[in-house]
Amino acid sequence: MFDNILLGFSISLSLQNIFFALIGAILGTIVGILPGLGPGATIALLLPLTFKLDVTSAIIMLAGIYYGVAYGGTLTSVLMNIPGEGCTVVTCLDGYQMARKGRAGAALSIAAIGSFVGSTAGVVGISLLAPPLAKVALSFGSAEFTSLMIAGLTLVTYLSSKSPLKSIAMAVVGLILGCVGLDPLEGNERFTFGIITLLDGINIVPLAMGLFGIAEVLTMVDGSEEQQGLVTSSVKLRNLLPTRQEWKDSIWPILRATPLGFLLGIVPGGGANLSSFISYGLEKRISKHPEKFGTGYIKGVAGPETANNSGTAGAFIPLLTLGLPFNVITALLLAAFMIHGVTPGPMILEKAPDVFWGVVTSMYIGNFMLLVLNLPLISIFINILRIPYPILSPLVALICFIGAFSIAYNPADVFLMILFGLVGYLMRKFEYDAAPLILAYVLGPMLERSLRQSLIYSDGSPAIFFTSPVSAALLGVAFLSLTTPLFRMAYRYLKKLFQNRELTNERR
Amino acid sequence: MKVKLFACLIFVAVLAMSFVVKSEAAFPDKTITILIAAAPGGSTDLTARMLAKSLTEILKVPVVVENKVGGGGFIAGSALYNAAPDGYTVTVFYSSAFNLAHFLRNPPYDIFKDTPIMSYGIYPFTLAVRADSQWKTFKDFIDYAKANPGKVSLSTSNPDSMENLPIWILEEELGLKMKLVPYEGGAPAVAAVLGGHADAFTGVAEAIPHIRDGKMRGLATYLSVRMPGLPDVPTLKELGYNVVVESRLSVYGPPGVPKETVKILQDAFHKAMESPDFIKICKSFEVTPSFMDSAAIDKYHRDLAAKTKPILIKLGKIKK
Repeated sequence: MFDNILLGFSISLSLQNIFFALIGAILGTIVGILPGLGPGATIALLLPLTFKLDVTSAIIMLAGIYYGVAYGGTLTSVLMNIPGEGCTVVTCLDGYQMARKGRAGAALSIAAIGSFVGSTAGVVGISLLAPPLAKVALSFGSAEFTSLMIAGLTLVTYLSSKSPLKSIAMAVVGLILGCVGLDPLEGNERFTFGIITLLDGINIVPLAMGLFGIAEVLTMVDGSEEQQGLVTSSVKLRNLLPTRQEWKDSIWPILRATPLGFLLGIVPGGGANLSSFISYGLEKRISKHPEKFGTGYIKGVAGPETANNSGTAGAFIPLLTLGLPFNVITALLLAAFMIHGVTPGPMILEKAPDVFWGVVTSMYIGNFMLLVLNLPLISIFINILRIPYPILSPLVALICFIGAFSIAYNPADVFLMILFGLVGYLMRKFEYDAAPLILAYVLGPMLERSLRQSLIYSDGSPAIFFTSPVSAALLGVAFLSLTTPLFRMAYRYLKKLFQNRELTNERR
Repeated sequence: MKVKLFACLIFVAVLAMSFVVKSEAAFPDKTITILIAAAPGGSTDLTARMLAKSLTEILKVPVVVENKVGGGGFIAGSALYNAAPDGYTVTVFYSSAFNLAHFLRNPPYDIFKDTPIMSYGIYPFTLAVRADSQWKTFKDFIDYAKANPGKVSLSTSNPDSMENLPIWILEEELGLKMKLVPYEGGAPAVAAVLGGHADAFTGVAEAIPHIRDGKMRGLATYLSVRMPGLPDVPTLKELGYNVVVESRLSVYGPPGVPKETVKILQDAFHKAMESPDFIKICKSFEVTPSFMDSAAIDKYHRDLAAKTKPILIKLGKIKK
């Protein structure tokens, strides 16, 4: 094992490979910052250019883009409320509110450090446990995934700090939006209204850009909110750093999100998006102050920003040890391997140990570079907050328009984004939260697919969800998640009753 | 006055000459665009890019690939259908576009009016089980499925992609009943077989490395020939079943491209298939390079559609 890691470093520390890791890290950060331009498109564009490189260098660079994105994407989420990638959508919820309170620097620093911890721990996980974890991933079938999604959805009701009824209503809207497109098991068209673009469903980027970015611009323009929200005076180095309390609040979410995101990155159907959402839901669910989430609470940034990075690292395990890419970007990385004549899979450790260990160890180097690269960037990018509203708001709108268009060069995505922007504006006016909508939109289609798959396997019998121990345990978690508030309420009620009785006894 | 008249005459003459030049100019004299409905980086995109690279040398004009992703392929399909039929816009379709997508979706155009140019490759299609499975041969598998109707589960990458068609045909012809479980892409479908959740996998390239590494066993391929990457896996035809389903990467132009232009393009694409880069990419993605001319690919798609329609009607997927 130790020999292998040494072998890996002997390859990844060559001048050439350090150079390509750096290129990957820089490109990844840029792609993360530019909304709409995703890692998938970038890797695909660069793929033909890597033909002449040797396989290890090529993969080191392309992989660097992939894990670098989860660093850079945070910047626009926090500073402008524009989620550039799916995995940084949830960062808008608290990150942007922190920016409005003048704590953007703290949010970004914690995010960068959380990202580093999540990624590095993830790479350690790959180095030590890749083959056994791959087996775990395979044992995770439709039934287990269904129960995981149910547990995830129970977090939805806790996502809104205001009315639970409004929160559930928004979750239902999210589920409906998730149904748009082709039915995953029969291929029938649903809610497409004969519009070709809707056949592929609604992309998360225009949806989130509309609900967050455009809605924010509209709110800025209508002047109902205080204009000095983004405090310009506080952009000083002292304010860039997290306070001691913020550090203290972030440690546990980071430590929890690391294994959580990693495991969710490994399972078929998981990945960085799912990891970040589940982490946010979990942090809010177990927090003593759930009402603080959504108002600029550091825990709402630390957890998801760590989870999306460890999830990205986790996704390398099925790719490298099984040759099975469970998302679009790892599929492109697989293509890159294959073009160079190396097939990832169970035999990669025997057939091409130099490639495997070279790539894995390069991730330690790449993540370190990303941290060093991103921390100074924060103090540069934070100057965006100095831009006065009348200039910033059209700029935000412009970036959203370009971002939505650049997903697939399809104007329909821009129209969808504007539509969701208007909807998002009205939701703000009437105090409906976007968070449950987005979470249900992400989880709903995954739940539907795995639920229906499971029921085909079991010939319609729901017993399949209870006979598998993992699935049964996850359903138990879901049950507890739903019922503990009731217990807590009952406990408080009894305690009060008891105290009252004591008081009356004393009086006697 | 005379000067003006003279100038006019010269102008008309030049104009007329330019028309003459234009009509005499041989095809092609400007950039040819290959529209791709798939995202960059996949086998469709990369095979087309490699062909475009050598076509640029063969035809002496730039040949570029443009990805028009979305709408289940209909965005690229519409763009082609509405393009000028001059041969400067072509696209790469998979056979599914003339078959399952044609019947089950509602394409905003009649794809059979598009002009067939040629076909350059076949996607790998295989039926595979886990290496420790009780079924050693395709016959074992079919016998078990016959004896235990509704028991065998097959994972697939998509609810209505072409690799499900041979399963439907076999069910129909042999009176079998199997459970077809669609996943989101080939990778999770293979994972379902490796993890023991599904009994078998029907699909494309994702299973091949596992078959080569001995983690899975290929029982059969649905193609007309054995796949170069898996020379030991027999075709259904060899096994005595009259089932051939191939998804062919096929180049088409808009409706009404002139015959001479089709011929030039067909021959140029045929020649481009010799490019080592193209062959290398095909090998990487387990695509079998295979040439079919304009008439042959047209016939193949029409025959396959005629064969598929009654099956889809029987399955209740479409009305008559």
